[in-house]
Amino acid sequence: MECFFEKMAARGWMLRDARGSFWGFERQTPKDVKFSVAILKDVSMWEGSENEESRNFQFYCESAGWHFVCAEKCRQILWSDNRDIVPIETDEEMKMEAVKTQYRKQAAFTMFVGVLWTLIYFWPVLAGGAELGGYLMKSLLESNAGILVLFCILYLLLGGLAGIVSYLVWCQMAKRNLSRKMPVLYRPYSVFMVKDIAEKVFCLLLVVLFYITVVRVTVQERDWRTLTNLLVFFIVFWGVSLFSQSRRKKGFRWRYLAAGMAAVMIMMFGMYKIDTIFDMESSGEDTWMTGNGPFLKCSELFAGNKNAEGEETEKKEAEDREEGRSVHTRNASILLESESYNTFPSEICREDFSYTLYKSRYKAVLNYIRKLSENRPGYEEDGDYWDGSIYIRRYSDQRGIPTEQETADGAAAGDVPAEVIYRISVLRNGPYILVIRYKDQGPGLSKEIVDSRAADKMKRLPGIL
Amino acid sequence: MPREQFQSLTEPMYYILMSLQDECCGVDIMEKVRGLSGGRVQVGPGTLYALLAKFQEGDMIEETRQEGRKKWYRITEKGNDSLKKEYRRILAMARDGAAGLEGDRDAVLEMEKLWDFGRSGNGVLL
Repeated sequence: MECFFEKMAARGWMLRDARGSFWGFERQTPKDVKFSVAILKDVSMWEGSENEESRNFQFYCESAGWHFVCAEKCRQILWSDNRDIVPIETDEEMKMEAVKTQYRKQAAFTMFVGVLWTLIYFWPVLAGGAELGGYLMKSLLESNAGILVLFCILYLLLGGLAGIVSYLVWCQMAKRNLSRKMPVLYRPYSVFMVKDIAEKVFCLLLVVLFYITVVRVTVQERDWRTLTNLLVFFIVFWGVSLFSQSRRKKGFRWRYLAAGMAAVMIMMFGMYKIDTIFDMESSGEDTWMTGNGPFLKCSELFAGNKNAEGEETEKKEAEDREEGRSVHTRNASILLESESYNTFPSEICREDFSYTLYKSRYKAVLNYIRKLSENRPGYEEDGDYWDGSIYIRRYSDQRGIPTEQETADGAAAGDVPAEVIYRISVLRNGPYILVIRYKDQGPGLSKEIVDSRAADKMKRLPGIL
Repeated sequence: MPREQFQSLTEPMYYILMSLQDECCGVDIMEKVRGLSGGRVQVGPGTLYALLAKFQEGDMIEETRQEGRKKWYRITEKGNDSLKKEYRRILAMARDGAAGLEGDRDAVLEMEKLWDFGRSGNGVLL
């Protein structure tokens, strides 16, 4: 860092302010100056830069011929035009202790924030296990905002890990330098530049990703409700940011946190009520496949199925069920798009018939979705085959079978326990994966016909090989 | 057994305590240390600031007066005892060194004199 500031000063850019990894320079005549970055051991990370200890320290340094530039919490930056001036820190062991204390706190805090963010989103995994974790990951991939959240979580986690590793490496190097009576360095210039560039690249990527995944899509779809929500969010975010920057020198206070949380809650309430406040409606549901409603219906798959006597089955019941209660949702993101459909028959569970159609141009994403769809606990493989260019894999899910207790209870009540089996077919081709799930209606329902009809429908999708 | 703080003093600590035999303020301490050590030992303002805080915490020095941010300090009884102890330790090492390393009888006698009279190289009476 010191080396970086000295090089900038030699080029005519004098450091004026520092906020995290962002430096403010002002144009001056090029100077050959000496910079020094000092770390104060006993300043807490919650204190502002204008604290008593910092002021006393600055006074000592200025009396010794140094000029104070700026401070941020425990970090003090000073310069001198005398390159032979006595360094601020002449005791390497004390310098190492101070840096080690603050570095350890910072590394632990960064790791804690990364883990906290991950837990906030993925905490249900602790209860639901890997399957639920997979579902949560899928839901992140299916929306642009989810991808943004995933990017931030990954950065925080990786940043935390990198912080811990670099702290441990630095400790070893500092101890080695100390034992060899060599100066204890904060960080080599090359490592500092790499970290500095990496942080700025991340911020740039974040802005670009936000524009592509959220802003551009929202403007293209004329989704005024979402745009208004974004505007409200940014107003509150920048307001809280500016406020915290203005209080930076004073340090952390609990009332600032309370004010920030109150602003966030008001914002969330406003965004929730934006429809009624501004009379805005959410964008209508639409399919990106056909534009005319769901891609696949019960009546298309089950209608015309014949039983052993050659009689048609399921036709009217399927139509009635579909028209009665059904839901169709659509998710679109830059990585994965999906369209889901469920029917809700009155007397049975909601999973009587459902499908999800996935589309992605990224093979890795499709493979991940395929593994999630096929490797579910309780699924038993029921064969696979090719229907032209569509690869079909079948499973059965017998989790609907009643337990022994339920059977015993049913028998006591005089009921005949019903065996409930669900059929799952996973169809794959090109950028699509279609997963259909339906209750097995017994011998009257031909699995081959159902899968064949689903495959025919899939062949009409654009881009099918 | 954990090492007691200030059981042995580093060079900067030693010279800082020596310069605080008389009341002195922070900035002047740096000059005094340079003078006492003949330019050999230099204490930076950051190190001085940290050491003064440590000494105050360990009751080795006390603040005598303050004008704005400028503070004056003086060594305490406890600080004096630690300083004397360190001086004797250094003398003992020098005496052993003179006998064992130099083999010079005159140097050994000189060291013995110093040890007996308790004077430092700069004539400070302890």
